Amino acid sequence: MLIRLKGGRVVDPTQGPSSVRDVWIRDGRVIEAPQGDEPADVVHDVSGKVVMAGAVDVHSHIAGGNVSLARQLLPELHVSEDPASAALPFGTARWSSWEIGRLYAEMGFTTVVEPALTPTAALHTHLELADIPIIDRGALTVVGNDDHFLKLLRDGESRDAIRDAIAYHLKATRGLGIKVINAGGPAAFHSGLRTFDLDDVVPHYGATSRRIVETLLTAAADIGIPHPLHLHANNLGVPGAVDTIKATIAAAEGRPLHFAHIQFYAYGKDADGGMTSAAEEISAAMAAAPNITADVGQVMFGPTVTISLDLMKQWSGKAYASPKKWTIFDGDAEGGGIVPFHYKTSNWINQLQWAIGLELFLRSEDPARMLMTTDHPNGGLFTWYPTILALLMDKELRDRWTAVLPEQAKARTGLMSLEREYTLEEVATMTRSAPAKLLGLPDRGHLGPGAVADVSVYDDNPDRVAMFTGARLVLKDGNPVVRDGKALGWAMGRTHQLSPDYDGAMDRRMTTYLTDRFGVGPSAFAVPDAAFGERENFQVEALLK
Amino acid sequence: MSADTKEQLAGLDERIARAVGLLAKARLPLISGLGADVDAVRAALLLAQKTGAAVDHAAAAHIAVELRVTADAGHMATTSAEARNRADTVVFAGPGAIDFADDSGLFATAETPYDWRGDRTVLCLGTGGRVPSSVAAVAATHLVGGPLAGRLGALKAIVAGRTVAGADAALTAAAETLKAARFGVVVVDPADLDRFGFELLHALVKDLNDTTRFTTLPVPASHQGRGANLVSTWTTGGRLRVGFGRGYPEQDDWQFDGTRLAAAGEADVLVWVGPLGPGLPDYATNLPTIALVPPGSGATDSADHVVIEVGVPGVDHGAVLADTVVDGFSFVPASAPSALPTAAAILAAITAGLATGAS
Repeated sequence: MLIRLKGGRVVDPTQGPSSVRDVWIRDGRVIEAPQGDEPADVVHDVSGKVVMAGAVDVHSHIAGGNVSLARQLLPELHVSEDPASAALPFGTARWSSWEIGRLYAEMGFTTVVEPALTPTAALHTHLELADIPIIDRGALTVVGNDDHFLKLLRDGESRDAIRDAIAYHLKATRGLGIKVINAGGPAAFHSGLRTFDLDDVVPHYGATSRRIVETLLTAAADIGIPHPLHLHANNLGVPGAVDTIKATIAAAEGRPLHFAHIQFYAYGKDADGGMTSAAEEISAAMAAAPNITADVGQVMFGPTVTISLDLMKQWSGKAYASPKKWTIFDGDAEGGGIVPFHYKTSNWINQLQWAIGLELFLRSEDPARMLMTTDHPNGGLFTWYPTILALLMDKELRDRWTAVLPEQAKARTGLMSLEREYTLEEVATMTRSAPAKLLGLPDRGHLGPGAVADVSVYDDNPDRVAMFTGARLVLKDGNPVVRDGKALGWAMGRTHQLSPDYDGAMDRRMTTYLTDRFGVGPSAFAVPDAAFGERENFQVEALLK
Repeated sequence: MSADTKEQLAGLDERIARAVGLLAKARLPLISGLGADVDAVRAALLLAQKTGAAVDHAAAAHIAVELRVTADAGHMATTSAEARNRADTVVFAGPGAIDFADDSGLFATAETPYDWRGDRTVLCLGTGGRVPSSVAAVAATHLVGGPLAGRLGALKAIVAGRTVAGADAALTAAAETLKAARFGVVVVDPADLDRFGFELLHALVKDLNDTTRFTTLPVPASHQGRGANLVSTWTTGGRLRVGFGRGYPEQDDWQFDGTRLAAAGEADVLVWVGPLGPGLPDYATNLPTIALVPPGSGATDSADHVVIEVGVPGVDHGAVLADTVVDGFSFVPASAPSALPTAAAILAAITAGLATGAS
């Protein structure tokens, strides 16, 4: 099947300057314009529209035990009230997996990564991901706080053994990369500690947070994981956490490292210990360290819920729960803390968090290294993305928002002085090519020949919120899935994973360990194809070597 | 394939057609039981969306106590493996906790990957004088009798430093045991408390965490209750009970209580999804019923009681089931594969029959 997207303005900096041209698709892939006069089987006239690759999200909590626990904790946060159409069962069921896929697709997103795939909940997480329609998915395997790994460190096991153990976890849980959460912190919380810094030691294991991060950086490189180690650093939300980020950048020693939701660490402190923006300091540190990438974790206003495996942070954060209820789950390694939170325009600290996030975007020299997230739902829902893009693209709009900032916030941020406005090309880099490349998905995020035909077409509407809320047309693998801002039906995408090899001895070793620990052997982490019945759910991506 | 199985399958189309006929004329179908695997629950919810049905589950205490308290106040909990391996203090609260420990043998080993844990201190609270017989590596066992909820309230007051009239020495000592834990776990069957008592238990556990680490291990819901509720949670946004009368899911524990819907005459057909039990409820006698049950259930087919025999998940066919050992989902391969259809396949066939108008 030959498809022609006719006459749109193609915005894809990986393929050169934006220009009005056709995009051709054959059998689900972008191709060069066919030679001769071969007629297209389908022509989509997109004259006057903006054509981009489908957008990619590197960090959004869309599936898994903690997400469902949050749904159970807060029924009042997501009361359904619109009937679903016959073509989209559960499509209006608020905060359902089905609604998540629909809303992402309608914004023109075609690939989204769940950043917290815990091994014991791997099958659960993948079952939820498989019920998210339209978009492709991936998930990052959480490592670094479990007893097995910490004992490898304590026992001084070899670099190869650690590489194999991480590869085992990645392959068994079918992750697309690895993530570590407040390295050592959740393990220390189980033992009663309530704070944890880069050089603090996990009780009983003798390993510092720094050593865990360094070890995982080495393992990620040894395995050849395309996505850099995805780090939820120590001291999230603490004034002065900027120092933790700078120390962690130094610890990476030039190796690729991705900071998740870095806004929550871009906090300095004044002489009284009060919070100030450290966005400029973070930006400078990142400018000097080209190995570092980050996503923002932008805060937006309104009621939401924080979902985190950082038990220590959630324990301290429960004091601010709104409404006043919360859940802490001590898992087999991390677990989960669910704390509802209301970011209020009347609260100067929340306003400052909002301003710091925008500062990080606007101060970043390279839109490929400061990616758009809200750490959904922790800083706000992903449905805020169109508004965030509008704020980045329009200084006047920002001025209207900053005009109402309370004086305490105004005095602590440099946001008002930033004149920069993101271009559509920078938006395409930040939301398409850069996240796809960072995740090791080379055929996504661009419209070059060979790319997967995930395409988003937007009206070039000066109201950027409207523009990015409802795409005029979205193609997934070349097939229309959204038209005029509305999903057309339930096509199902794939979940992308890595499948690294490792020494067979690790299979035997893990079988023994898992049998001792759970009594069930390798099935504790297993995600077999048979669990998905007739559904073809997974797609294996290449390693770096 | 045995001759019996062939005969069963031969009648399948006719029974599915009768099921479609019953549902096509129903005003409010009730789908319940749901002692079933993940695919069956997914299929049941899709049928509910299609027919505007109410959906309930057989594990009432899980919904009315445990999940209700999560929504009202939140909770603290851990996994079976963490309770077994990490807890240096194990509280058995109520008789159900004793039964669970002894039936599962969860604490029957002294082994732990956490080599610093040491022996366990055991506290039996409101267990009617019973102590578990299966716990290994016990350093000491304490027993506090009396009504469970009342004891929890008194302990919460003592832990908070308040004077409790009539607190006996055993109760005061129990409070000290709780505070002395390094990682304590309260094992409790939600069926042993009402939601107020269960919330009180969690309030006590939360208070204990101000000075030490403490959490709970709820006895797993019966009949895949945890798994079914989780599937509903991600599929509809909320747990069971749920109704689709308005074309979108509405969560309401009272409105969509199957027993109530049947007694009040609101539900006019029952779809009982019970490949893993329990058997048909009493109210099915007076309600047109479509029963998806394993062979040997004793249910008899008649004009308005359609009985369709389905395979047992994990026996006749592979299936994803809620696993109480790892507190997650696990795929369980068929232990004795058979040609019996899956509940999910039957539910999907009924949904498809309704879509084409066939009846």
